[in-house]
Amino acid sequence: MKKVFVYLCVFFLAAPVLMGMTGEEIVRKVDDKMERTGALSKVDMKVFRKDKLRKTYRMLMRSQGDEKILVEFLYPPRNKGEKFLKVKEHMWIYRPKINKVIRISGRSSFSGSDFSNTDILAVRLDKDYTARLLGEEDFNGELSYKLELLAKSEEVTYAKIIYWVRKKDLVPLKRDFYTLSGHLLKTLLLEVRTEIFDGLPDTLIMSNILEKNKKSVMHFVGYKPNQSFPAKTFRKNSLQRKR
Amino acid sequence: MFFQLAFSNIWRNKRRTLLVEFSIIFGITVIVFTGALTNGLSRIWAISSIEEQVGAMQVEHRDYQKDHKFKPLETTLTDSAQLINEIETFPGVTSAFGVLQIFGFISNGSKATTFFGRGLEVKAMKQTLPKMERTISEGRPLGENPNEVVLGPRMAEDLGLTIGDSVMVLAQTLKGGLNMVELVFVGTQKGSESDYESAHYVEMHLKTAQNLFRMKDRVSQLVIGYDAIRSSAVKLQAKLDRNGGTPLKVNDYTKTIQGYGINDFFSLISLVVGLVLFLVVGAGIANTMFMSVMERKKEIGTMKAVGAEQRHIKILFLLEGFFIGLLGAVVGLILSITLVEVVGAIGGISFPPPPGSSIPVTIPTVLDMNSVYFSLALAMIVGTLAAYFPAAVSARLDPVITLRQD
Repeated sequence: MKKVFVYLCVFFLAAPVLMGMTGEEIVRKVDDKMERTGALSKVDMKVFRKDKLRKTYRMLMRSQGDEKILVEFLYPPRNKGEKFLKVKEHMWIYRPKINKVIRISGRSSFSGSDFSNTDILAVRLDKDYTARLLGEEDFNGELSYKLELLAKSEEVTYAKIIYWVRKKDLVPLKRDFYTLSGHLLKTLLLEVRTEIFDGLPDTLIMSNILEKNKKSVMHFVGYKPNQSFPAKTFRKNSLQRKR
Repeated sequence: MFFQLAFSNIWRNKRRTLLVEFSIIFGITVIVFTGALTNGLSRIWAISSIEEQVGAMQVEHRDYQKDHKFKPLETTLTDSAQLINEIETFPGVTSAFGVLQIFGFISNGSKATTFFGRGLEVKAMKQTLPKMERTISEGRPLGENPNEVVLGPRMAEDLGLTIGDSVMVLAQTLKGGLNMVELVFVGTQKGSESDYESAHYVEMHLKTAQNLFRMKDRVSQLVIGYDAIRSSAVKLQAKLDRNGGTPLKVNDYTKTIQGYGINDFFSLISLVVGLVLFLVVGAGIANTMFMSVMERKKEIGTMKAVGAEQRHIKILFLLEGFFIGLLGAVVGLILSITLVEVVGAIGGISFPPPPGSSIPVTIPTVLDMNSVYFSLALAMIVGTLAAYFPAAVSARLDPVITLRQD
């Protein structure tokens, strides 16, 4: 009896290894795939309200891993020259009309869209969340891992994320974001519409549970890898125009 | 001897002196009565605000006013229950309750908007603000159920809510994560005067708000009920400072009632009116004294001839001016204080309804000691100063010339 118990314990502890990857490993691998070092991307963002296109933005995104990201608005003229900078956990916005750099919270809306600043500027999930594999299930006809990501601290914007990742190639498919109270708050669909990222999602569709008929779509339209940016690109002081 | 002489001199021309005294009495009555009306107006304003909205005193974090725009949750009071217990032992305090200033998003399930508002301790609030319920326009105020919410009328309209509907309230917690709670809409708040406030105001139970923001036992303010309309903020501040802990600031109702500072402006207007009035009165006194000097030239010459010095003559006339002022002030104060008390006893003065209202406004008269001291001092100072120039002229008179005159 004792032997059976020991075998059972060993089986359950070793099961994830024997059967495949752990939740932590899956999330880390997906993060590695999605993280872009030395990348210059051109991104379009469309904001829909009452199911109608309300605003279109075009941005230039410079990424140096997950730690340093600079987003510069090219369109519309009203937002042209506006910049969002992330360095580690700090985020700033530069407003050219007043030539001022203002510190921003990761939770606030990214330029009036359904994305928060964190959604856009924080790429890796393994830093803030511990992942657990809930199982495998069919997602739109494809076998996927279903993961539960729990925030490591209460400082993280979303307390829980339910994450679907395609099993065969570890391509992320969907994230459901939950509050501390356990309420579903947002849903992010990750879609592959072009081959710009070699099979990785190039389109992010964020919808908010609190507001129906509203969504924001972020679509990568251009991508240049292996870019080297001067150090000053990601300096807060470089955002401001010299007077 | 100077006092006696000066006092008897003012009655040498009784008619003229009485005329001056009447003008002083009139001036004092205007100042004291206006002060009492202003004080009465402030009093009814303060009482209604204290009983409906702000309490007699409020306690908050020392840096709340300075930093609440950027750090509203950080500049809150910790251990609020213990703090309330301490405050309730303070003499005169009848009750106290905690308020947490809140903000975030509210949704009816299909539409969302930003909100600001308050988390309140309902039971203690009803004791501290007994007239609070008057500000509910539709439905009812927060009841026993912790999952109830009261909204601004425009917000309820914009979200298409009817009493009994559910709403989702989303907020960023003290540490930064997002949290949500589902509440039932029970009433609208009439006090939401501006369009913005009406479209964005939310009120919920304190415990629910503390759970939503994950800040147990923390509040933005403690609202305190007191057994009289007087300020003990300084004493309460000293008591709480001795206990240490979170740095606190105690504000009385004069600081927390919105726009209450306008009373200082009214007081300033009364002060200016009083000063102008006494400028005229002063001119009257100066005129009387000049005439007195002219009439008593020979007497002044005789006094100088028998050895009186310039300063003696000057003091005599200054004292006469002082006595004229003092006498008018004493009689004026007796009359005006009696008038204030009589009008106060019959309930005040009724004014016609203000625009947009059909209810006449009755303003009680409440004696304002500042205006009493001010008018007393003003009458004596103006009396003395007005006599200064005639006194100086009289002191310079040449006894040889004055004695030769017919």
